[in-house]
Amino acid sequence: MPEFLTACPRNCYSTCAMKVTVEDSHLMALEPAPANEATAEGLCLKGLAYAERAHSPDRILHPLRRQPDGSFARITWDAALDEITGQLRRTRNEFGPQAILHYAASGTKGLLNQCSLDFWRHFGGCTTTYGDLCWPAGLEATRLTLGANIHNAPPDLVNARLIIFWGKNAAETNIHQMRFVTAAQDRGAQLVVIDPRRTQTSERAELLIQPRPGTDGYLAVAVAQLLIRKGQVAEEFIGDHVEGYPEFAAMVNEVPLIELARTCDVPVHAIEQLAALLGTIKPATICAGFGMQRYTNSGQTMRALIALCAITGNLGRPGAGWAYANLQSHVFAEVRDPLASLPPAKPDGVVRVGVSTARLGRDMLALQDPPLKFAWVERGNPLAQNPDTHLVREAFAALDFRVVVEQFLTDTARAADIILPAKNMFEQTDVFGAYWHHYLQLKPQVLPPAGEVKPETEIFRALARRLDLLDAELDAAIPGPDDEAVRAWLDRQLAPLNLSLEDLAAGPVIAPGAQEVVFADGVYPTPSGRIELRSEEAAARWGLDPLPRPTLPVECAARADADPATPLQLLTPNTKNRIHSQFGNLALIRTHDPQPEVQIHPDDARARGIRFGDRVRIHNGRGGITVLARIDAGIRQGCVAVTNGWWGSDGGLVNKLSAGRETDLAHGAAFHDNLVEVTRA
Amino acid sequence: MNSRHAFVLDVNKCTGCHACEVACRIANGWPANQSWREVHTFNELHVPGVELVHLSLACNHCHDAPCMEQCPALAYYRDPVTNAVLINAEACLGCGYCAWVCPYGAPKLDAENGVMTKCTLCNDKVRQGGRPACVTSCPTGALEWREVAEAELTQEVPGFAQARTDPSIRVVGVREERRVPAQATPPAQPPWRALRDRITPLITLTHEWPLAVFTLVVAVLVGWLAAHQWGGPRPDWRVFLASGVVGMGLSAAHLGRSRRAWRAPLHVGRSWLSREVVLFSAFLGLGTAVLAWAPVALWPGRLAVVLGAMLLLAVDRVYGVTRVRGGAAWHSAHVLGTGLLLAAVWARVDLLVLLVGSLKFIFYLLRQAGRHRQNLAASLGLTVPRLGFLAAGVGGILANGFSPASLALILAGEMIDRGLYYHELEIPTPASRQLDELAARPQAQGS
Repeated sequence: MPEFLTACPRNCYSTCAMKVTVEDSHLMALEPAPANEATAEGLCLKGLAYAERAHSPDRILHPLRRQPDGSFARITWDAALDEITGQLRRTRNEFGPQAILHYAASGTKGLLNQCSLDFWRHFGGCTTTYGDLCWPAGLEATRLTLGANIHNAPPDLVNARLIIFWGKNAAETNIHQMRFVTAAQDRGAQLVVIDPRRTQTSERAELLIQPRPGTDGYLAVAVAQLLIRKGQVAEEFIGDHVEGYPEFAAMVNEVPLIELARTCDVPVHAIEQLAALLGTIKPATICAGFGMQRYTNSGQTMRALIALCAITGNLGRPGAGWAYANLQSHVFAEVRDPLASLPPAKPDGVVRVGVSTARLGRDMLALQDPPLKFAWVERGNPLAQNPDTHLVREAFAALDFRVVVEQFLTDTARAADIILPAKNMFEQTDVFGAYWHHYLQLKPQVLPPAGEVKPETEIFRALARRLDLLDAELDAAIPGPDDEAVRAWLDRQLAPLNLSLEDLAAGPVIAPGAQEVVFADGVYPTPSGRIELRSEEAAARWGLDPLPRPTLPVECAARADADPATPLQLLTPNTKNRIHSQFGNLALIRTHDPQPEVQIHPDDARARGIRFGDRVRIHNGRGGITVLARIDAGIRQGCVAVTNGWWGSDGGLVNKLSAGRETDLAHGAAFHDNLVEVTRA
Repeated sequence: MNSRHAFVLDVNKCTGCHACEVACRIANGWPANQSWREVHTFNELHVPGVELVHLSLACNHCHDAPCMEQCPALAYYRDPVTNAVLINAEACLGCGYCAWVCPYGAPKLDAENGVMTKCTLCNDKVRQGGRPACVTSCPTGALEWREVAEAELTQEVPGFAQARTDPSIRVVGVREERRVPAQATPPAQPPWRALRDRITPLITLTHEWPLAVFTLVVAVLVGWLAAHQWGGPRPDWRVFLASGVVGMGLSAAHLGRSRRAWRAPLHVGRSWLSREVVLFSAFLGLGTAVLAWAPVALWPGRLAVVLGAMLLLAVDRVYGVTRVRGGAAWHSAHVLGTGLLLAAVWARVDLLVLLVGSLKFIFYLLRQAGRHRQNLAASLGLTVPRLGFLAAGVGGILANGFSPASLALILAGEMIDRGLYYHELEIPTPASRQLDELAARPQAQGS
């Protein structure tokens, strides 16, 4: 049976290399491929579920048209494309091309994703979103402080003597990192986890600190205060590399420790323990996750966290560092995230980057000149995953026409007028980087597209042909249908890097210029060339305090103006069983995770008369969902958690509860500024 | 020097991702809700101060495999190269007894085919020097299949049975220095009890009622014949035979593959289940013959009673691998006791009736008193009639001598007890062991 080396293009840290076995156009087996040093061991649950996902009877294999009764009927590609072309022409003629929203999210990685915008530019323009649902506050905080979103190669973690997982549950979201954690522990490293939940990652930790959600910045400042007071800062390193330290030190001492401890609600002795570890053990790596940067105050939070690495000299050395995002493999575009996701300083008049993805519903409804009339959605499920689902639904319902390119009948697909069947990762060759390790990887086409599936490149070429747009320029920008044309196109992207598909076919390739240990030369690409604890750009671009002075999130139970009717902070973390809203519909996954549950502390449950397994209503002014109660003595009291990514059909659309608010940096989504109440249903 | 291949599970590395379970399911073509390998999580509720442990278990291919020893149909065999313990699906009766005797919960019922099935070690792969699918798919390296020294021992891990079956697995326990730190707000009353209700018991009365009936019939027949030996009433051989055949039929119909019931006596040398079948056939045959044609006082009659006593012992031994939570080794539903009580009643040996009746009364109370509070409440409605019938029956006999009504009362009491016993029976599984251990931790007791 033929065996192929491929890689997983999901929006996930690990981005694993895999071996797949194919027989008679059927995916037979998937196994790990040790060539990727970061993911050498086995696949995760999602990886194992690919065979089911590729051949699922639920997969959409033909264009579907919504019928007056709301059901979907199979139509031909010609009928689908004719109708879409007519709608596109009509919208462009009546309102202009910018009345069309092109919405794409993180459903799959690949260089070919950029072809979509080439089409829309040729079409005359469109409207797109800016910002990102996932991680921009942390990216921008890192860029402002260190100048670049890069970190040491994953295996370097074994050199750390102290590992701090701050808001990251690697055991579920980056399971391959755990191998390096246990290897480091075997060599004597200490592990600290900071998370409002007791997670799988914290099980073998020495210390678990559970701060009040959204107050991590106060905790970081408290630790910094202790480090400075005890003289446990790296003075030489600070002198050589850190900008703004005196002001930072002064700011850190503004508030007494006891008050900081009270705000983040962590016992002083635990803060002292954390400070003692960080002050005495070197090298230390802080592996920062995304959870604590999904608040309205989280850019400043993240800057305060990075400062801990800076003042202890934990940068530029093996086993040390700030491990947030490693974009060293993002070598194809001149501008990387987060800057790439910001609206351009000067609009080009063609593509209107006019909708904040964090406020998708509100911005879509508010947009004028022209208002939005048509939406094209690919690689995304905004009706489940963007904040404030009710408004997003309303905004989509207000449009004249909706096209969704999808593999399954997601909530967004169900709202479409026409659904076009989407390719899966095995049906088109593509190349992509990662954001944890620094490999470039190839995923070759190993299966013919199922049913009548056409990759987006083909869909756009077909539309361009109907709209008479397929000139030489677009013909070059979007590869032709056969695999050879796609490979030639990819080779053209790789050529400037002195790479070819042949190199990548042999196995994962370390991105050109990528370093195992970053910042070893002491050069930080910030305006000052140093680590900026004081950032003028933070003030100029974002209107923030140049120093990472912590504030409370807008929606937080600790605020004096908090609504007593909604005393619980709702967290909507990711689960190991899905990538956002992908995979949750598969039988193999549902066996392990059949229905949405809310984790609730026993005391919070008892106060509400809730018992294990009860159906409960989570609600606030924005909406509500009904789920099962899972009593969990490991979650912080006052916090409840439901994993995100459930579909409406599961009753777990968590974003019915979240508000469409941006983070203080880089237009992220402040999902966790979300106070709720839970009552028995 | 002495070494073998074995699973090595390091619970410090396992994050409970379930990839092993899923990979097993895929590699062996199981539907989504079944798997040979299972991950049992200790302290899912995160009781503060108690570690969380995932125990990934399938068949451990024991060198002293109780499934193989106790299989009545000789359906188990061992691969001479890999030492894998395997089931011949063509020979399996589907009696499910292997699942009762396995300390690791490895054998599972293949409901579709009515036979037992379990982890094959991916034997074809392992024969060629490969590793089982569960091992190759472990993302953290927590589960291995490799050469281990015989001297290397399994450490104490919640839920793992330290059984004397010489399993091919070594478990690395939680490292002392890696403990979960104290949390700020421990709950006042830990909710661990909520979990016990979520365990699906291996034995339920709804499913096993034919066995409850069969074992009770056995006790009645043995008691009846023995009483006759002592001078009690002579059973009509047709009723005697018919009851035995009905009991046996019920028991055979209860098998996954009834047509293979003929295989049940094959392993009489080792398996208590085979012995039960052989002894029952011999007892029923000889007993009927004696009742039909020969005076009971002669040696064939005595032999039949001896066979009957051995049969009751065998029945109780079959259930010896099970337990009643909190119950003692001797309990009121033993069929040996039931047989003896009935023999005494029919034979009108009042002193023995009083003695056995009182013992049963006490044993029953002890069994119930030691049981879980919730279950006790559930069975409370039956405790009064069970003891009431026994007391009334025994009392009636002591006061007024034998009467059919007293016998009927005693029989009714025994039926309730046997039924309750089946309801309370439990095969210790990794999951139930984990809950017992959690309940025993001081942190789980609450303040």
